[in-house]
Amino acid sequence: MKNKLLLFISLLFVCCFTITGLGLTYNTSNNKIENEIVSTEAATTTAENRTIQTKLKRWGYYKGAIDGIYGSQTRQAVRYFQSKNGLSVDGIVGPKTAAALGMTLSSSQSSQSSGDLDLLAKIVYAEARGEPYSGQVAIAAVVLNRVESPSFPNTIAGVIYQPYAFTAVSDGQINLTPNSTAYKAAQDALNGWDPTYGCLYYYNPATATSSWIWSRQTVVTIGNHTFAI
Amino acid sequence: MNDILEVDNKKNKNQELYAPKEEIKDNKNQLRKKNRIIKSLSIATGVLALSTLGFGIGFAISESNSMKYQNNLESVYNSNFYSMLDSVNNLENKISKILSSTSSSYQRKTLLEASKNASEAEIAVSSLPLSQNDIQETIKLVNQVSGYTSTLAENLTQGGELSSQDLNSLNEIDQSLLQLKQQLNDFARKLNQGVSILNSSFDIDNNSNEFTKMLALSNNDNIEYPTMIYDGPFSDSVVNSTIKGLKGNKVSKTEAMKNVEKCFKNTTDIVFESETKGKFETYNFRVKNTQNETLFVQVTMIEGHILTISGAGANGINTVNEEQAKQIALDFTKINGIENGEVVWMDSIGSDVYMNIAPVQNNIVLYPDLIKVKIDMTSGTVVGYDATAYFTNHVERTLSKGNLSLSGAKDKASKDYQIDNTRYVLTPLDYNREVVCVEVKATKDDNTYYFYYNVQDGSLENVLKVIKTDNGNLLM
Repeated sequence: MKNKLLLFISLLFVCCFTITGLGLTYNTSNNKIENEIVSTEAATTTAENRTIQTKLKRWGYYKGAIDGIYGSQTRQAVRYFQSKNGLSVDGIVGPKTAAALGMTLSSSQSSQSSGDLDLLAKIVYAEARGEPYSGQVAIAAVVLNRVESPSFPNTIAGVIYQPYAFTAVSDGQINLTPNSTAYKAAQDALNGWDPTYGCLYYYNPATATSSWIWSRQTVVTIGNHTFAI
Repeated sequence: MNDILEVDNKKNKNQELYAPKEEIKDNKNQLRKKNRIIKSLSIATGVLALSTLGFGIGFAISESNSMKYQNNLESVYNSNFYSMLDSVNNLENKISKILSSTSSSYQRKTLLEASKNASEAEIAVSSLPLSQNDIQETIKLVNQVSGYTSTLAENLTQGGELSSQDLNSLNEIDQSLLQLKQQLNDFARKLNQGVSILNSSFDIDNNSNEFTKMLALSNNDNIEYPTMIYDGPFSDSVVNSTIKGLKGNKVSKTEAMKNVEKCFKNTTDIVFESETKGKFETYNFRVKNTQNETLFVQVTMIEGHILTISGAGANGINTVNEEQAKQIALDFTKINGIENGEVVWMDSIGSDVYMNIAPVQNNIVLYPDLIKVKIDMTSGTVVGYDATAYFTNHVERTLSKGNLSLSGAKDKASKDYQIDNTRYVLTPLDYNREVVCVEVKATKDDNTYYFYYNVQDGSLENVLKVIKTDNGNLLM
């Protein structure tokens, strides 16, 4: 009996080790897989999702928040709407469902995608999701100020993905899905709001270790971040 | 003798046969114990071997993948580095050719090529794993050279020529580029000798790494960087622009708070939070509005005007429409002392409507002095306000409508377009220039365009097109 127990524990041990070893392999490509799942889910844009949610809520199909996120509640509401309106029930807003909702999808118009807004919302969410709203707008504004500055790259993507520029890019948090507040903050900054009036840097005084950043002239502190030029 | 031995053996056998039962039991137990230990040791050895094998296989696969990623990354970095090397080599060669040429057309053509090379160099250097703090001078140099050469080329196109000051600046730029070129070529030799960019870029300690030190211009104290004063992007004069609209006295924090109270009459929850000491100096307040949303309100220390309001706004069902929102925005700007505003653009995104309000002077819309307002249509309240452009640019101006009438401008637009509207506007042109124009709004094939004709000479100053995006319309 004891032998059997010993054998069982040993096998368990082997399995654990093997799984740990193989886990190392899987882990390196894990982020990539998650990103692919996220990107395939986003069939409609955040703005369109908000419109869909607003319409469905008005007509009593949807009871969740108007947050622009096409989550399970929205999908369920779309399925409910489709079943009640004689459409094929797949939970996806394609051209027919969109027409029944009284809207036209941007993909069918001569519209261009707003990659800039998505990127800005991602960096805002990754770097400042716990901060007050004005602090989130300020993060997006710093990115845009860098685009304008000669000392930094000239595109939003160039600034965000400049190596070593943002810790959220290095540790992969940039790939988290932003919430509606991050989108609103990014939109405000794109529309010209900048509570920092041209700042190029920010840091958290409680955690910043760089001596260089402390030498910059500080302009304003919003939430946990100090903004500097 | 043999008989005696035989008897002894028999005795021994009998002794074994008749040994006490406990002793036999002990012997058996010892034997079992030994067997068990041997079995356990065998299993443990097997387990260890299998575990090591499993872990080894996993680790080997992981290492192999990691190596693959590292090699791919190293290749991308190498590609970017060599692109930068080519661009800087070409850029330096072109600047030195411009300096040695006297032909305007050759200078113009080469300046445009140099601008393109500088732009390519910027993209490449920004993609390399360099410490951003130490590489800023390098990026600034290539960015400014790109803008400067393009502005000089434009000047030559309009019949101008390179002044001695331009030639001096180009000469200084060439010296900086020569130094950068030498550093890049030194590193290229190291790459050829097997140095890895990835390895050189590790240990980003104290905001720098080995790779950055090799490429950063700031390490060279003997180089004097040219200050590029020109009317182009990234010009030092544009970067260091000043505030024109605030010339009065400094107000106290209490006075500033009174101005906030004037704008938010239905709330008493106004708390001073901090001060801003930047391009604008402001007192910052946190205001809880009637919807219980916290707004961040900044008031200028000079003259005490509301400068910005930042608030998210709610999501939900709208209680006001766009026309009502327009009136709320105009009323709000009036409270803040801007009486003659006109909504010149609006766009709603979700439950928020964004508006640009421009002051009007003698029937001329002042585009440089735009005020931005965001209204939350679920509650009909102002949740965003930005008057930075207004206070940066607003001055008393003497404006003339020139010789161009509205119908004259209409005639200038192509007959293929349907003209929707015309009006006089003060339009900001590139880099701090303002010109009075007639704005002609026209449509063609479902596309909307705005044409701007200079009222002095009737020339077309700018064309904007309305671009539909996923998140509202853009003018580009």
